Amino acid sequence: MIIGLAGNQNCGKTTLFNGLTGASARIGNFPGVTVEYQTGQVKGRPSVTVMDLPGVYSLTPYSQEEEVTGQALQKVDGMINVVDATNLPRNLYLTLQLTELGIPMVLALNMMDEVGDNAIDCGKLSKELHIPVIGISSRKKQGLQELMTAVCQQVESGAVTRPVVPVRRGDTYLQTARRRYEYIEWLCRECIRPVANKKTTTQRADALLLHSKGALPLCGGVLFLLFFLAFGPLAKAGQDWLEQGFWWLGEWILKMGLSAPLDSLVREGILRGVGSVLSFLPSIFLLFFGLSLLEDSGYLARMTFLADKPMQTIGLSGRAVVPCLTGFGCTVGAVSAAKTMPSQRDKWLTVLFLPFVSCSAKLPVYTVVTQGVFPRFGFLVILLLYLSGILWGVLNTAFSHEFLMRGKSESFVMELPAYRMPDGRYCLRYALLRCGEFIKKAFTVIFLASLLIWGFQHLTLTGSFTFSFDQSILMRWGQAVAPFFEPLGFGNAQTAAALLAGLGAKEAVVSTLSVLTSNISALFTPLSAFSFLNFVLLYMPCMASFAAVRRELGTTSAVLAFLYQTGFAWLVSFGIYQIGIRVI
Amino acid sequence: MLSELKPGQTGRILRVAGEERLQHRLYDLGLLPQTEVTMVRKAPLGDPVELSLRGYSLSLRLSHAKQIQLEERLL
Repeated sequence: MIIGLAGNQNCGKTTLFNGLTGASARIGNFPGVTVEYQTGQVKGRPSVTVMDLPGVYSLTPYSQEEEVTGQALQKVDGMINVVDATNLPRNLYLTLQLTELGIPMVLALNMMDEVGDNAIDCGKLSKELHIPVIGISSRKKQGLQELMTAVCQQVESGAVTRPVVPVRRGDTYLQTARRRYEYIEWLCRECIRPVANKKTTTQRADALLLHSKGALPLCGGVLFLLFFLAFGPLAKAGQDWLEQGFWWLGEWILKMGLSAPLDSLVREGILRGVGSVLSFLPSIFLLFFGLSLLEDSGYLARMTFLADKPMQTIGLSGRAVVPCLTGFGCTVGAVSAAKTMPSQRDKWLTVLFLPFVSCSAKLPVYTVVTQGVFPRFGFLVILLLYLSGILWGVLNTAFSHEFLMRGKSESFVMELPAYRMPDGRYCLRYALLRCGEFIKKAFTVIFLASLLIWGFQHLTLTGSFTFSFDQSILMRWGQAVAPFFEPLGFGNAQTAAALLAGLGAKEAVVSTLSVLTSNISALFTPLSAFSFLNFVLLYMPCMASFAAVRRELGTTSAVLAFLYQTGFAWLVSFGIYQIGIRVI
Repeated sequence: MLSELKPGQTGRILRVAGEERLQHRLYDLGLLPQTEVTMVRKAPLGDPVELSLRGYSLSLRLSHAKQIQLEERLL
């Protein structure tokens, strides 16, 4: 039995989905035409599958989300219409449209805990709409069993849902919409007991947080705090602690006395590769935790509101803020976050923008190289790199917007939800879920990449094993590619080999360099180091992001995008170095 | 036009212009003729705007707000 979850955006469908299926449920991604939807088995009811559909305001296809939802609803046996009980009038519009589909359905009044049990007369609502109405709280997991029982009963009894406000032949779109809203106004007067207006807190908060002069500095401050949390001393401490743990693990493996090649494979190949990525777990966790706190409180929606105008000028929409922020943690997560963009065009531009955002894996490269070459003002160089990455991204996106993908970004119609106290436990669960995905990535893609790099470091062209890096395939390839980097100021085999290794994971640039040379700063002059860092910032991101981009945009586009990015990186570094040696 | 309301002012929608697709979208969101809409604020950079109608708040780009004509007399 397939049950679809339909509802407006931001009404808590996905929370309900997670509550029904449980974190342990198998979640399959079925790529739709453009937007994906998730399905999962209901905990305790193995024969029931629920489908989390994109949030929509209406069934009239306007965005791709609505098309996907409309198509998916043709495949379901029954549906749960999730509505935000704190905002019934607008939510019920979709409900009326859904009743016209004739599919067995149940109305789930979500966030009942926020409005209070007596605020809405569920019995009356159910009688008027001719469908069961169940009050639930998806965040607190209240009423979920009751809801499932009701919907299963509807499907099994073959209940037919009848249109509440049938479309009359000959009516215009406007007349139909008006009749629906008139009915909703009447229904709400009958079924909702007027409650003390909760809006005032939100209004007062917005007067401050969206103040015409204060809002932007405040937003900047919040961003700074988020970064300080995710990449500041706390994250650093966690990272050190994890690295220490991996070091102990390495020592322990050393004591096992494995044969030399095997020991090298396990410790230098797998442990270093996977460990260097896993050590970013604290940053990823804190970033997602902070982001979900912002989202849950309602402030993230305000950030997209503030950022919409500047984003519009380069052809993006305010919603691109979320993937972009995520991109500072990990491009892979950010590309997945871009899935929620309202149109294909927006998704493209956003996904293509993301590699310009310095992900946290590039930070170790920046740190190690600047510490060696610019001991005194390394911090400034790193800041400059972060900012110039964004600047290049903006210029590139503006260029694509102007010449490749003209047209306006999808309309910015968005509800500004009421502020509420973020639910710490929910945010924690969310952040842990994302960490789980990250760990999975570390043990699959990064594991394989580390293995490959190790192989190339230790195999000669004739296929025999070697401990001398000069003989290895990686070094040979480095030598072969090195002339390509000559005009950029770093045409030596070690650097070239490190950049090749960086295709597996950006951290590998540092680990490879440290394996291939004892003194990294000896490889660079300050100018060539700066040129090198810019190349690292801009050239194609790691395999894992390639896989993610390929999934969203298709193979051809992903390959073209990455060739373009590498070419662009070359040009920028070329410019920096060639202008630099003439000026200095 | 709705886009010309000053923050705090309320008007009543006369009609929604623009291409049909957008028009239908705005109807779906409850921006129907005779609906009362309050301009809550404009974003610090002037676009988008936050509106209040039917008990919820909605943010809309200026270009869309310009398609919504109001009755002459403000409320």
